[in-house]
Amino acid sequence: MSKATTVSLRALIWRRFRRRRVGFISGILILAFSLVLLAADFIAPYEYNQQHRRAPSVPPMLGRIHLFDEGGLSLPFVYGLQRQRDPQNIGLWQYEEDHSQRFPIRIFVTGERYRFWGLFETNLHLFGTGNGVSSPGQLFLLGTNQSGVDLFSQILVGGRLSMLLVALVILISFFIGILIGGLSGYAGGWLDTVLQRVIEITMGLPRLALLLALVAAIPAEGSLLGLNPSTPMKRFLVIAGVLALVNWAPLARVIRGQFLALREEDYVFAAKATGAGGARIILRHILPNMMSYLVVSATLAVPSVLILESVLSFLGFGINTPMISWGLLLKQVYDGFVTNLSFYPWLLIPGIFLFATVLAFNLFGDALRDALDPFTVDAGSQM
Amino acid sequence: MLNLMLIFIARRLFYTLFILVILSLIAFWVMQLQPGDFITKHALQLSQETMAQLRQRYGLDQSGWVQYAKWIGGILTRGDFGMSFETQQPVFDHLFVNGNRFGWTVLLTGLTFLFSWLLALPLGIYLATSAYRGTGRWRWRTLIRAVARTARRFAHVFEQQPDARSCRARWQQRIQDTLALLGQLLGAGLRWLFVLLVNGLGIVGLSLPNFLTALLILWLLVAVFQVGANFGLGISGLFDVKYRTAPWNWDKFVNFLWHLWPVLLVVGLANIAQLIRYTRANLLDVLGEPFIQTARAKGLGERVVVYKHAVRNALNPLISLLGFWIPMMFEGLLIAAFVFQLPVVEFAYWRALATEDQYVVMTGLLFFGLVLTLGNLLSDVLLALANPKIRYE
Repeated sequence: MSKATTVSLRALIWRRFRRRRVGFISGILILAFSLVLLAADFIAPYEYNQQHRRAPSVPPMLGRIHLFDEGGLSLPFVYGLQRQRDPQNIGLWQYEEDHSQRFPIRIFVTGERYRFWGLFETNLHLFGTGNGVSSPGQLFLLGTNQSGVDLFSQILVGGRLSMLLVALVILISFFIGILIGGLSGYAGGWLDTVLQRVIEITMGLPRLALLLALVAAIPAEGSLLGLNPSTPMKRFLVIAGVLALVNWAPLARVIRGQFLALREEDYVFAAKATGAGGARIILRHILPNMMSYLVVSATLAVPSVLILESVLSFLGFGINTPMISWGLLLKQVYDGFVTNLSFYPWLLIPGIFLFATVLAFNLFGDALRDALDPFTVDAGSQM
Repeated sequence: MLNLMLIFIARRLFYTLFILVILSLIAFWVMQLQPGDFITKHALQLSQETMAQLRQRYGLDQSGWVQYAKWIGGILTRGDFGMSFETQQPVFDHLFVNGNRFGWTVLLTGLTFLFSWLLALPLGIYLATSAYRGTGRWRWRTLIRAVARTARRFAHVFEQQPDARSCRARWQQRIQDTLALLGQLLGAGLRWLFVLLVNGLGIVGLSLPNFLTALLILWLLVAVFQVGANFGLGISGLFDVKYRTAPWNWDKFVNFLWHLWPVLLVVGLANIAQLIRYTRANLLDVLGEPFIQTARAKGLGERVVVYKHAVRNALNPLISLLGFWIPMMFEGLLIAAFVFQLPVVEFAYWRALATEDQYVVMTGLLFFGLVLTLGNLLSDVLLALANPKIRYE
């Protein structure tokens, strides 16, 4: 006595996606983290390049946020930082809590000035102590580096830059990939042959070696093809372009394959019979049917591009100061690693963020790929 | 058949040549993008005469095409890849011969290859054939079922049964049985945990960038174990300083091994993770095929079925991984060389990029391109040898 119900494809995908618990949670985390990154410099309690000369190498203060005082529960507050010389290691500092000074953590405080997304200048931060640079009442959630720059703010702003770069690279390489792969697959004939060879040759080039050579060749001053990459923003754009240049080929190859297959579908013939032109068929019929596939490959491309960008910055050829990225933060740990790793291990925290992001995208992409194929048997239920 | 193969290889070699030409053009064009000619940046290190000589030899004061032609001509006629401005040696010596860089690169790559396959293959096979080969919920269920089955098998221990034996013998039997039960349960739990760990390694290893692995190893060595202060061991390079010029002996070998393991981990971890996942997935696919059922139905032992029938067929697609494996190896070794200051070609390449030593960069690009295309060719040939169904096109 079963009642037949129809389930839309979308509902089927959603249902299957929700069943992959790890991937689902990863997706939610990615969404939340992206939202945080969108407002990175507002959420960051400090301007990400501001040096606090009185607070170099402060250990993370996450555990020093107090919720209780003598009178019981209170609003969160921190004690003042008291700096003294380390008796064992010359040149290092130790920090104690100065219990005579209490600084409440407030929300929507005014702090250091920054330009929100480079658009308008403001000094409003989501939270913080709202004290000046020289005050002992500071909230360095994840500590500071040797020049007293707040690591948490750097991680947020650097993460935004990294993810922006990744998004840009994926957009550009998908654009090139769809254009060339689509042209090759849809047109066929000699154009297909030529484009195929181009794709093959591009894939036969040593990716990282070429990438490094290209990025290292971005001149520090002067012009590159009429573009002046000496400003950080333009350097960022050039890096994104170069990354896309070494990334589009594998994508174009599979998109060509998809086009070849979809070209033979009945609805394409039907569209042709009604007199639709090539552009219409591609944009209205073929591309929408490839959408799920494109979304999955975009998601799965994020980790590799993110790692590639970090590697570039880590090797010293990627993002440069005054911009910041996770790879650059880790490069700064490596420069003088004996001191950094021995005494300031919290500087490795950007690595945790990088790893977690890559892991989340891998898990999310895997789950998405499985969910978007609603007619295959669940791998788990085969056992 | 052989003829077809030879034609195929010849065509691919020609294709490799074509790629190298393109790569050399790209390399040259990239270098031309920079303002000034090659030498002006290195004016401090070079004397006036050398600079004039170099300009003359490589045509640096002439147009880009002439320079390119002179460079290529030098390679083809004299084997002269240009000069390293940093060390003022021929590029070939600088990049490959000096400090035996090429030899170390080959050795480290080979060792990492052995290390990762020898570790990953058994682990992947184990994952695919162990009782807990499912994922997520299913692994839990298998564990619970295994525990229940074990408990059932040992049910008699807890039951009172009429027994002719003496009380003492019965108790001895019971204690023996209980210990065996605990042992089996412990074994099941450990195996379950092991599968969980290796599966975790498969996911974590893929998500851990090489340089992060390197930094973590550095952190362990420098900050946690403080090997320098505690054991007098160095971290950078392939040997501690006192062994660098010493002839090979047992101590030097041990020291080499000490410097080797971080490199193997940094270069190999992502590779191992990927291999484990591929092996597991492929083997699971193959184990579901009808011919495996047939083999089992014939009464062949499980070992024969798995190793002679399944593993052989599951490994075939892995050969095509060789193509991915070479760039991965390059990236890994570049990072390891950068972090641990290894005397390998990749490190010289990085140095050349940092010091804008153009001829070294260009030759390096050619070398990596050559290795990549030859590696792809090798993997195609191996794939064709392993699977006669593949056509040569």
